[in-house]
Amino acid sequence: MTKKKTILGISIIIIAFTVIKCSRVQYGSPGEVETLTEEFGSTDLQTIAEKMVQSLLIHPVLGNNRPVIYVSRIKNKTAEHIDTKSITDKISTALLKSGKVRFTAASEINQDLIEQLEYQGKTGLVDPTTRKKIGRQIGSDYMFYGEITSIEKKAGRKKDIYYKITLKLADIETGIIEWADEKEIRKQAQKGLLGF
Amino acid sequence: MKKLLGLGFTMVLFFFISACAPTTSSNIGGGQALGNYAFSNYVLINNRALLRNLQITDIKSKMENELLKVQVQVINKTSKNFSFDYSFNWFDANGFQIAGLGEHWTPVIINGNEVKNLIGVGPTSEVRQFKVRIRKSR
Repeated sequence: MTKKKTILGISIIIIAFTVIKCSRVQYGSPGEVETLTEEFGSTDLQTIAEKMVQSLLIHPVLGNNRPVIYVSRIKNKTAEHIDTKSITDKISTALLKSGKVRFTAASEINQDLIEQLEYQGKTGLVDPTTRKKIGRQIGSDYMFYGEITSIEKKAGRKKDIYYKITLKLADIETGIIEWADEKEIRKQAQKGLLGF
Repeated sequence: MKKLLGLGFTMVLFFFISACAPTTSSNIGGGQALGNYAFSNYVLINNRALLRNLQITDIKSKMENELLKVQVQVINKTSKNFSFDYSFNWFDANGFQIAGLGEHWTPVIINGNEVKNLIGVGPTSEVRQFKVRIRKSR
């Protein structure tokens, strides 16, 4: 009986030690592959952005005249919460850094731009020689938009998620879709016997 | 006997607690390459097992829309599937690194005897050199 208690005690101490030991904080590389859970994660976002940026950068539609792009939204048609703004931000930042395109801020902060123009024009606080005029915004050449969808299946302890993101670039004047590409990702997860 | 049973029970508990965390894997299309000796200027592989199982068979590059496009062809020399990660680094003509989206690790699953092309595009028109790092998936 005493032996049983001793063994049980030791087991509890070891388990407690393991649990306590697992609590730690450390810095990691943002570019590291993340497979903590099966949900949409940073590696998915980075992989999608890379594929789309590469595809668009070498497409003739961009040419050498640095077209102006209006970034619309990526519709999230999955069952998960996915910050699609983060995807468009990553893509647009990389495209902008390439020097091949320009983006209009009107898609993000149009109200702020209007307020700033009104402030400069109406308050009398701004030097007239540096005052910016209304009606001189550049019209966008293209609209960037898309959607992300997913198919999720479960069978016992196994789970399979398939993501598909499709992005498009449409000529605003003609309505023609000049560029489109898609990226597929499959993720599989399996839980342990006890559900851990 | 009871002592042995107790130890066994403890080990089984350990196994479930420490080793049975959810496991996930990614199978993301596309890829990059790894090389043999001839390609060592362009490819870095830091794992001996990976070097044995994965061979770089070709590296191509060209300028497309003023950007450097690279294609590294790799082949799985074994009949079994395995996964690896790759990452592109980009440099200008003077060897200065140019930050781009390609600095994260991209996971790839390669099937037995499969040939895969790992494709990268330089983030700016200043890119003139590249390096592909390949590692065993963690």
